[in-house]
Amino acid sequence: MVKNTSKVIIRFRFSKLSDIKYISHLDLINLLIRALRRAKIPMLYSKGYHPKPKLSTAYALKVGWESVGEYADIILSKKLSTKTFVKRINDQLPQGLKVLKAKSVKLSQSLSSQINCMRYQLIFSYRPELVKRQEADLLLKLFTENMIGFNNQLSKNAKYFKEKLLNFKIRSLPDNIIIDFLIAIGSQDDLKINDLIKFLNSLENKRKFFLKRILRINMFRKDGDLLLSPFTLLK
Amino acid sequence: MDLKPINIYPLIDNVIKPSQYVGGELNSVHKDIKKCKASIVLAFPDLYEIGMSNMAIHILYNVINNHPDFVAERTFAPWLDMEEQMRKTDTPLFSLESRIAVKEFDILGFFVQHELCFTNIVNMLNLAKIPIEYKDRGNEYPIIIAGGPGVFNPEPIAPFIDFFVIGDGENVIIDILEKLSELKNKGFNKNEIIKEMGKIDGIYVPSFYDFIYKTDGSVKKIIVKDSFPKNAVRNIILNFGSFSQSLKLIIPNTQVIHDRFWVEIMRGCSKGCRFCLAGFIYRPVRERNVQSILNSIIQGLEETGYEEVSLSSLSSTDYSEIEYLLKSLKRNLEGSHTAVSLPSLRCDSFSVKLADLISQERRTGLTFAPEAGTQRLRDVINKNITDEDIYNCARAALSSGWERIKLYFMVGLPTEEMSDLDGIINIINKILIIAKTEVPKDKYSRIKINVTISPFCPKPNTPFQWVGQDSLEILDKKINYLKRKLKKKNVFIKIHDVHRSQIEAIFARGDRRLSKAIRIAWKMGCKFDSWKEQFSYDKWLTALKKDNVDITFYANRHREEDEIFPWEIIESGQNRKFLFKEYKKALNEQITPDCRLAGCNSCGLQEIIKCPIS
Repeated sequence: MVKNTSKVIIRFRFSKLSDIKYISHLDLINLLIRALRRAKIPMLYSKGYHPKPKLSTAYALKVGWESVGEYADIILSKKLSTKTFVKRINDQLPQGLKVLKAKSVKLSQSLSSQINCMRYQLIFSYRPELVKRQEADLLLKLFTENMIGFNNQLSKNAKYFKEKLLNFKIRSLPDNIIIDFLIAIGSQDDLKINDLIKFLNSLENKRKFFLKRILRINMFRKDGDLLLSPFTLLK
Repeated sequence: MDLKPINIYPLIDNVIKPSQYVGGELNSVHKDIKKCKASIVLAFPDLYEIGMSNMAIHILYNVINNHPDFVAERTFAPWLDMEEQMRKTDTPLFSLESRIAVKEFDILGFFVQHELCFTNIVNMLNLAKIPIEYKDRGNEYPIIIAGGPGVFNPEPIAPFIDFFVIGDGENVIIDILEKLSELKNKGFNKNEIIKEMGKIDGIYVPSFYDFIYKTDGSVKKIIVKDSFPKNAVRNIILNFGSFSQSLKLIIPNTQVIHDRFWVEIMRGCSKGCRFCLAGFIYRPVRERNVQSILNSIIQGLEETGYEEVSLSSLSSTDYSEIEYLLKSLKRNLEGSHTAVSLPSLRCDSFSVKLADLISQERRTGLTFAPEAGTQRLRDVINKNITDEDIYNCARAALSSGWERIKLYFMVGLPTEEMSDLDGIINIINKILIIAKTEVPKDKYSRIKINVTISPFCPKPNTPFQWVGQDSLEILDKKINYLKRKLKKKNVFIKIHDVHRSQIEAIFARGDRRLSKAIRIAWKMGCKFDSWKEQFSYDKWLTALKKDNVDITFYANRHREEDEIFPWEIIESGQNRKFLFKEYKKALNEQITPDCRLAGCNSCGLQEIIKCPIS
């Protein structure tokens, strides 16, 4: 039996892309644990009636959304180099799931309590049959104005919403409108990103474009003007 | 051939559990269909989560895809929301792997588990844009085949299926695909191919046979066309272990009902319970070598990462080296945080000892099936356990810390009287008394005795194929009696729907005329009939009425000894003489011992294979 004296924690960032985006959060946890078992990563198990590996994730991603910025902590029973960890686990992960980076730490606050904002990307596609190229700029303008409107509305409705949508950028590419934004999260006054999507989808010109992809880019701890990544937080 | 993959993404954005439609699991196989000599899509007429928990799908998928010339892909019944999307966008039923329309495959093979999936078969054919009846299908359509325990009376769905495969599929599926590719090469058309397939052992081509009925509705005569075989004799593989060795389970990315690794340790059961279809159609008992099981489990767990392994069989306690197997497993899996589960425990203290052996820190639930409440009725059904066995079993379980005991009973068994129901109540009362003495006071409140009551449904190819099912009124009366009497602290009772059981009974011994009622019911919206919330007895009643189906005739009627049954062509292995003798013995409350312990009972199997017992 392994002693529980010095905890070895590995924090890793991973992506969830393409078809694997359709599995639920619970499925993802099971899948990660099975992949870790296949990869022979020495994991520490919980005590009690149903021993489980101590794997904790940051924030669940909605079914159908993609991400290149998921994080999880796993407690190991033995030291293991992060390089070995990344290689072994990636050999066992199905397509679409990939560990991008891992860092070993001694002790840590829970991931979810450390993080307070996330960056997302919404990708809207034009319906080419409805939108002529010259119209696209108008759409972009409409989008921008509405996003500002949405933000203002939030700050008007509730004071604590004021900084929820921290910043956003809208770009137009030949086929897409891409909206990047940072959104604050918290336990009480959480702005559901769904509300934003619902709002954007309710725009009058909705017929001319459709939301093609929701991508979570990364998670941070916002400290004043500073954005700290979950890896920096480990220090 | 249109092998362009279907874009399924617009369909699955707003459906429940979209992961069930995308495939891409570990150990799924992606072959180039164009380069294969024959292709089959294995169709399971229920959801992915049910189908992927079925052993046969994994076994056949492996056997076929291990062959360099053949390819097998999978398809499952889409849930209602997905069906709506598919119909709205005119998307045909597609395979999970290549996402091409299932109608592009050479063969579409249904695995039929029970009668309540018949409407799903019809629905899947319709979703696949394939005409439902074979008489309406031209050369442009795949050959539709079906197998599994649900086709031991294939007649109610006979008009939908080109041919049935009876019994173990491991060998014969390759014979079928080899013959198919050979005949395709020779330029045979579909009907000619089906005709040739009829020559393979254990294949039943329904169009070769005509039924003539008496005025009372029973079968008068079966006319065999041309020189086709009089019987389709069940396929039985005797080298059963060798197939399992190289089995690579597909590991679902999403949760399924049985989310664990499994090894089939034994096939068949020789206990001879007279109500049990599985007990008759999987004989003889074939055990896998214990060392090979151990190797498969250790290797399989490493390759899959599963946290649980199930030792599957119809009666795992009866595996001859079960104790050695469990002890070795315990030793080998020490420290690996892997649970072992035994799905079918015999009701005795030996089973509890086995369960103790593999239990983890907390001892939660054990399940047993005494089936009937009195010795008399258990003799009738040949369930060879005594009251003492049951009490010893309960005592052993409760004293070693198991907190939940689940007991299965049936109502409506042949010759059953109210005193037999009182027997069930006595057993529960006695177990409660045992619990009082065996369980420490502070833990007593945790004890749960779960009692599951199922209406008995007579099945073809069993000694009770002559028996009528109790009417709904009688079943209701019996169940209500039990419900009333079992209202006790620590006892929780669960009842299987009598209406569903009646529909099951109608089709279990139905003939091909019932195919019409299935189509009518499907048209009215019946599907997923085995799902409690989907089953509509009203719709079924209307459908049966519309087609003038006499429920009593199919479900409740006692048959004469020499009645010709609709499933007469299927030879399950146990001959009619033996089954009838068993039926008579049942009525005389006589038991028949397990042939593995007391020698051959001449069930008929010895006439078709080299039975290890005789």
